[in-house]
Amino acid sequence: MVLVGDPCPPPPAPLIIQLCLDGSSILVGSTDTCPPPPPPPSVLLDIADSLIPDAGIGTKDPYFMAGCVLEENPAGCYTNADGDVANILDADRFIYHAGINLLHRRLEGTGARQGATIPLSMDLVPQDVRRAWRDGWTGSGVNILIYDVFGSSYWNLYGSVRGYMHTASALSIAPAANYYALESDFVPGGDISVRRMSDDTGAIQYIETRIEVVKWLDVVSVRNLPSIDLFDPNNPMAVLNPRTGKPYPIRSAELREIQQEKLNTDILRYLTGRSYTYPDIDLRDAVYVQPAGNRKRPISHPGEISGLMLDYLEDSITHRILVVGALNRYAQHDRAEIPEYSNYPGNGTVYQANFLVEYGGSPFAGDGSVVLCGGWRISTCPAHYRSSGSHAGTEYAAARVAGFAALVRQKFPDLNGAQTARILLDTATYEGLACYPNCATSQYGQGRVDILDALSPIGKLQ
Amino acid sequence: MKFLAYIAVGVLLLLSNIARSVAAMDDGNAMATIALAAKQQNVTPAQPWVSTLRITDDDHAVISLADGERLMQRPKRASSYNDGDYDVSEFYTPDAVRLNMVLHYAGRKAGEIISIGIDSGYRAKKMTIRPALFIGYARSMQVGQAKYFTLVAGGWLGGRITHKACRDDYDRQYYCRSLTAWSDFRPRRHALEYYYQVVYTHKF
Repeated sequence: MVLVGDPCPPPPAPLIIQLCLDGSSILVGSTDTCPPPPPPPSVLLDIADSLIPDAGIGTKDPYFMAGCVLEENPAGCYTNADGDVANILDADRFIYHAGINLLHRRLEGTGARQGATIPLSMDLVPQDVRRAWRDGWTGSGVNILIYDVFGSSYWNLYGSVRGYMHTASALSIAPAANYYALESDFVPGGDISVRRMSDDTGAIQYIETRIEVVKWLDVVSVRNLPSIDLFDPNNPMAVLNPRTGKPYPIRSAELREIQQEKLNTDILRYLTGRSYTYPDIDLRDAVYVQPAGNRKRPISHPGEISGLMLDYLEDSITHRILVVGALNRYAQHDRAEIPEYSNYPGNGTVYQANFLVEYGGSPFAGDGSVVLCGGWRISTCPAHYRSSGSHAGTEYAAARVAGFAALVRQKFPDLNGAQTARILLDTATYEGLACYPNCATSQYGQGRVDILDALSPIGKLQ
Repeated sequence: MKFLAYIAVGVLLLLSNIARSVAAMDDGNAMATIALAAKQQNVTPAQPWVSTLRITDDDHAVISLADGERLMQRPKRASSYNDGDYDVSEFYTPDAVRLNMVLHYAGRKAGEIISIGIDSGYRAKKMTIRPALFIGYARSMQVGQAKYFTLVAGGWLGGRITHKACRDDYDRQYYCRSLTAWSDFRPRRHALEYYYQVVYTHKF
């Protein structure tokens, strides 16, 4: 307020009462006016924490760089044992030492955010998953334990492609989750072996050390556990005599005892909190994702671990178990169906109620094959260092569902494991399946994950 | 003399810029004008007067802060992540008429004005604006022949905004207005306006 050379200011204006045209306000006073038309709604939502909020369809996500470009991103490039700058995946889809190195960096939960190269095919990732990423739901902050064969030993990293592809499948859905590896060197009746992983150069850190700091895991994606085929597949109430190989009948109580004993081993002890080998691995609230198996039979078959789990484990655990069968492609892309190899629910409500189907193919482009070789160029890789990849399996389908569970747990961190599993099941759909709309629950269970529905409100808002 | 007038104008403009915002400065200017006028005419208004009176009911389309700044359009519908359509209007419908008023009256001395105001706040199921109190003071003093200093200060206290989450059948939490995840909702902080001015007036 500046008054220079001005006469006395006018006295206060008389009282004016205004009635706004929209009837919204009665204004009294000398200076008030009706409010102007409201501007467009202000943006209150701050999504600064989202990883890729502005990426549009077709954007090349930095998590999935096809390979390092030395000039642009030297930190994302690694050299192989021969001193060459190595992409994780070359034109022949061979993964060199650097690829394994990257995998294990990624398994320590540091790779994706730092622009590590992950050799996945963006073309294979469905649009609904990409949409979730664009809105920031990438699994960030969620801990996923991959329980599989990583082909490690105390002195050399052989680089089993199995654990690699398992992890990559989950990574193709939840690229920013924290991944932890638990080596499974399955010995029937034995315990999990967690082995340190190192390569010849010592560049790979010890997974064992990392696992010691894991206090809480949100999702566990499990390898295909061997079936308990002590039983004659034609007569499930019979046990094969180990000497003669011929079946002999047992009582049903004995059968249950054998089955339950099998559930008291391996990863399942972690699931129930009964393992003492590595007490810091806490799976007591994890969503437990179990491959249905690749034996072309129902999980209700007495030899199938996944069916036995649902039969015998207590409700507090079965409520967070998801058994996953395979599809021959993403249902979002084209009409998908169960491939020949995949197990299916079969008859029985409990098997069908916990069963999902998902794409079980390789996350890699082309024919999906990869070859790992620790510390060597593929051309000179000794045979015993080489590990070829299988192209499909319910293990990869389950890993993808584990990735979906991670997206849900990121968006709703207050959910517990059972609620997360329930939501994935309740929002699952048959849309996109070849059988739609007449899909049998004995074949497809609850259908495939609909991630957009799973991330959306369900029922009435209160 | 003209040179000195320019300097005075410059100083006064600088002081005026201390005001927190244009809107607040307008309020401050108005009070300064009235206080100065009262002092120059050596009068003390006998009756208090109201500068702001807003009464808003549940039909009002805009939710405002106590100082009148627009906070948001009152939400009616929201789209969920899977393009579901939800009626969220009930969550933002106020449960009472809102009263917002600022009253002024003269102090004991000419050129002294004391202001007090209240805002009854906004209470809906998922959003609350706590009641607020306005306190203001203006005083104009003569410091020489046709020279005046006017001090003006005022501001709102309270009016804190709180949001509650909507919950679905699975007890998952959302920000009701946009149905984004509650974990992703970062409410913007809104500071109520206040003003303070020092005005020097030299009548030539």
